[in-house]
Amino acid sequence: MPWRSDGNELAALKLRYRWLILLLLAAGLTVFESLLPSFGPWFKPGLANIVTLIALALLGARAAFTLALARVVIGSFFLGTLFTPTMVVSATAALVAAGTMVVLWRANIGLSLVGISLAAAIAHMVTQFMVVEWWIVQQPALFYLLPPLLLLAALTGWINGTLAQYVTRRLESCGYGNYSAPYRKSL
Amino acid sequence: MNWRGTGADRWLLGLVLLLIVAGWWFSPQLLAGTPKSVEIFHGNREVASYPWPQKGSGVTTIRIPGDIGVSVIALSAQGVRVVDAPCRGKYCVRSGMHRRAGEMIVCLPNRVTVRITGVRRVGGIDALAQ
Repeated sequence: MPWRSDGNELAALKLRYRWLILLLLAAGLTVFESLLPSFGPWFKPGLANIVTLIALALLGARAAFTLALARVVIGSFFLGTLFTPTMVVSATAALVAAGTMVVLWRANIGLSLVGISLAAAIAHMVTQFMVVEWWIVQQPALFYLLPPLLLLAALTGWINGTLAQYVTRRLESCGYGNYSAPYRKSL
Repeated sequence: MNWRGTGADRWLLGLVLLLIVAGWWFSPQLLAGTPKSVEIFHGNREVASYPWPQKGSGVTTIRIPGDIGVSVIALSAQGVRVVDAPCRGKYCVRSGMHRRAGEMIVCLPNRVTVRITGVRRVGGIDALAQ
């Protein structure tokens, strides 16, 4: 498991089961999102990133990383894209997005989950394009599509960040932040 | 729900939007290759070829006889365009100035094609279909 127990087994168990709940939620959102009508090629609202953000805020960096990777694997299992290029593209992009979140979260420069989500959405989109261009399409003309899609990514990133912030606040006010607070620092 | 974010969030949003607009504005220059020459075809026969004009050189007017009449093509450092065509639709005229390597002007009824050659860093719109 991605975090230390620090001798407190019950607290560690609670963290693990929370992580699992978030993972199932994220995987479910990944599948749900693929059923939505597409806004354009390679464009999805990125709802699962909301859960990655919540995991980052409540459980810490490692939990967010492992959650991002695990939800792509589980999600692509259900979507039938397991071990296909599609999965590699989304896994790379999800990891880079999670990395961006972690770096900005730790940098502590006054960004809330809204700004962190925005940056992650942009990083996700750019990574997707780079992986697809280098590995699959190999046509720089692809990048003509990038600016309009980045605009959409900025919009959905902002919305997702607001939702993540809202859910995180609610969970914290219900006491879900309490157990993780000392762990957040150690992670 | 707080949709407005913190001050830093809004700064980041502004920066991101600025970069997107700049990228949008400059992507044609960043992605397009430099034109080298202009080739003009009637059907599949090349009838004329001109090196891409240097900056400051004047406008070269080229008259190309095609199937139904004469296509008039103007070539300058700013680009190449069809000034007049004998066809009814005049899509080639209306498509305006072309200046990127790989671009093409086609007058279908007259079977005249103008092609800009050069270092093609980027395929056309058909890149995905290639």
